[in-house]
Amino acid sequence: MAEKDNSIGRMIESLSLQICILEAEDIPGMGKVYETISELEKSMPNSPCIAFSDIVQGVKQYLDRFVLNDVTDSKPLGDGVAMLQAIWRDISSGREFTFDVTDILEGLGYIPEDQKKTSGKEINATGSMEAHEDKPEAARSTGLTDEDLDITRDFVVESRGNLEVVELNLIKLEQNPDDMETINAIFRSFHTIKGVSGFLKLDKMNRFCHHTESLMDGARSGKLTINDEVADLILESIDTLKLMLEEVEKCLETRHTTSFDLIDVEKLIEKIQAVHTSDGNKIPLGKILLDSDVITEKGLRESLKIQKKHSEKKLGEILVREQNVDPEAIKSALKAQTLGKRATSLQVKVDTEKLDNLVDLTGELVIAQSMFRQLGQTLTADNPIFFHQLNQVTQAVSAIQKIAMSMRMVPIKNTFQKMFRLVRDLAKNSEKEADLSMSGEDTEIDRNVVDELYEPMVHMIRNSVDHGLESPVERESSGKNRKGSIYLRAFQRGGNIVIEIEDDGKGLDKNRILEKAIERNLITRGENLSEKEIYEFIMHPGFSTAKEITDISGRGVGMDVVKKSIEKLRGRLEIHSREGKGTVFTISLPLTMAIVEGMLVRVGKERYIIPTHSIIQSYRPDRKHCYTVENKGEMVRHRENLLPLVRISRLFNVKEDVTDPWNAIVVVTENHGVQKALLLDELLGKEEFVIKNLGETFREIKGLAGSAILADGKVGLILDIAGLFQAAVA
Amino acid sequence: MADETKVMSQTVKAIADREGKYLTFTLGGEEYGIGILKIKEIIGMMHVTTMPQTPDFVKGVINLRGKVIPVMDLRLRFGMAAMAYTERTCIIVVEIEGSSGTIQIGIVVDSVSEVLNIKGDDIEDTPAFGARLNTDYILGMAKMEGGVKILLDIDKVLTSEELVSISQAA
Repeated sequence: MAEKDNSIGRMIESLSLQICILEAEDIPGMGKVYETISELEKSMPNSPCIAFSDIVQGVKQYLDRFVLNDVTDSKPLGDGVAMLQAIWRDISSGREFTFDVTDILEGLGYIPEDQKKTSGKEINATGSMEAHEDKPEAARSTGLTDEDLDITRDFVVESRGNLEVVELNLIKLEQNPDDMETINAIFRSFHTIKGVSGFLKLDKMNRFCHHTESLMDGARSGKLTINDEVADLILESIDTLKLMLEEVEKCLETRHTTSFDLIDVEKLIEKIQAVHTSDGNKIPLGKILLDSDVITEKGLRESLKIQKKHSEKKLGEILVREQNVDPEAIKSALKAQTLGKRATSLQVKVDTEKLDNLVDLTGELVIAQSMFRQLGQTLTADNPIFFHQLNQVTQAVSAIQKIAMSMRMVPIKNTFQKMFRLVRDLAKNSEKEADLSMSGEDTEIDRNVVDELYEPMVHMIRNSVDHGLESPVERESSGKNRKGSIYLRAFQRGGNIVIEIEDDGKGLDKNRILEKAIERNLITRGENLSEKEIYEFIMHPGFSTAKEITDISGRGVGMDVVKKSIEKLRGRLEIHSREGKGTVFTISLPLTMAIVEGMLVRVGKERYIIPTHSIIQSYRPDRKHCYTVENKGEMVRHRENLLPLVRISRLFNVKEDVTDPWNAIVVVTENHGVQKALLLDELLGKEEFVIKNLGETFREIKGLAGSAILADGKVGLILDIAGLFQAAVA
Repeated sequence: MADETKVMSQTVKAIADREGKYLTFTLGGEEYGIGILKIKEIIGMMHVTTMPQTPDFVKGVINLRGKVIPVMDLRLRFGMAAMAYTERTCIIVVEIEGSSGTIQIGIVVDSVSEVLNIKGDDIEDTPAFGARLNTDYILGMAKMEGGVKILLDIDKVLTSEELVSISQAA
């Protein structure tokens, strides 16, 4: 019997693995799953529990539909098998299984035999659960009242925040394993979750938190040092708790309570206990002193011996007395232990819409105030008091405007810190060693940009770890430190925010990139390309030099997407690399998404804004440099090139003042290497403009990027050069 | 019999739906009304920046206290002759359902009259005028002492799909 049990357990195990890697249209994979499930069905003719056989049947039927491409989502399968695992665990440990599997069966689209008979009514009732979630539903659940619901919801949000804090603190701790403040912070976070989960009767979570908490307590009392192993465990615990929170959140909708049957915490608890009971290996103060050459190893060992005898005494004390160590040195070493503490300022979460409104209204205030000043000049020509008062208003207004604009800015710190965990996990997966160091985390960047920047950065970091860094063995043989380094830097340069991602890995292989480019017919052999041009190829869609595809990167979708998303933010991506030394990716972004630097121009009565980054030059052409083709197409000579002339007036159907190009102004603009000359009446000056969205009504209009409120309170349209070029040839 | 009651109750419901307060305004000598809940504010005529590639009834965009919103001329929208703007010309800012949340749009009308409380009984269904007049966006006709007010379903008058499709054709 036991053997049979084992084989069933194994079957479920392999089933879950097979389903994990199952993809739509993977026929051989489906075959395997099908085989396993049939075997499972056969091996237990009289099933131990109805729910179990129901799910087996459900999975089988769902699989049929999956094979026929009727359904493409493999998630219900995964859920089903996870449930089988849970049931099996309970059965094999002799416990009675009590969990509602109707959700799982519903996901699989399976109706159990006995329920089919009883009528479709019941299924109907569960189907329309959300429509009227009153009496019967509340009665069935273990009584989650509205109040409970609110508390639980808050708990989920708070706990997520807490776990995020733990994650950050943990990474801090890895660099500075004895920082009591950080250990305490982690302890507190777990403690809070434990407390509230107990109160909410989430017993399994409560029990689990209790173990993690006591682990941290061990670290707090100095019995345990946070080494890599412990850190891993805590990270794993965080992930498990996150899963649990997800489960709780799901149950909130249906007002059920959950017992987390799908989440296995026992193994983790065992691991935690194992670590907990093992001997701590604390070597803190001594090591610091040793590293800074304050004491000798021999002296330290002797002092430690003494400490063993008089355990109540602190190492520092003994060192001072026995080894004549300078108390100042001990003090500074103790200080070094507790570095990294910094007070965080209080914060309030504000709806971004409110912020945007504030920015809008402040802009209006500035305009109103400048109009007021003009009015004042005509009405009360020389009344010093009036202008004195007005100056005060002006000052206040411009201060408010600054604050309003700065509220959109957030430090890039949060995005950077998320990379710590990423590098750590990536390095572990690819069996490399990597260290991430960063500078300029306090550099402020537009809120919207930060969100958009996260994914490209993740991608580039992946590239650096997976392709850039070599394995520890390779690194050592080329005379480098085993541990690869990745640097993340942010700083401001001119009107740009610059973010650099640097690794000290093997660098880009120019020849390989060239070969690939030739292979893909991007260039022909023998073309002379600059280094920069060669590196540009890796940002070509589908271009990958990875010899083999790993699950992390190498499928060739990547750098082109990164490039695109950075260009969308009006930024630039540059690559510098030295073979054998490493690669630097440099992203430069405009300071804020909300402001564009542009040239205000006039065509007839209308005013438009041309973003300066696409302007090459503006000039009044000579009459002899203007040409026409068939009397229709117009061209103008700019240095050695002939550029097509685009009349904004014609494109936008407005009346221009000057029709002859040699009496008007030509602005040479560039987009993706294409240059065209725009014809307009007058240049009004370069300014910075706050960009206003034109909204969905005008989304389809080509050639406009948005609008801006001009100094006189009227609206000016910002030109989109790419769209304008398209419209010009349409 | 049962069917008749059903039809009756439907009519009653429709009447109740249309009953309420309306802001009335004039347009080419006719009186129109828009449900008061759709209206955000009424402002005087101000500078409008023209938008390229849009149908002629789209006047352009204005700066409404720091927000840029589109403005339509309702006369042109209904195919009436254009009229020079006067002191009485107003922009009524309405809120309509866009594909992603509500959007504000300004509509230019000859002059704003008053807010009327219109009873369901006084509202009649729009008669069919045949192909030459699309009445989809008319909620009904209100018979008042001063004459007939044409009640508009402003969401249908200003569907953004229409604006977009026309702008693509232009």
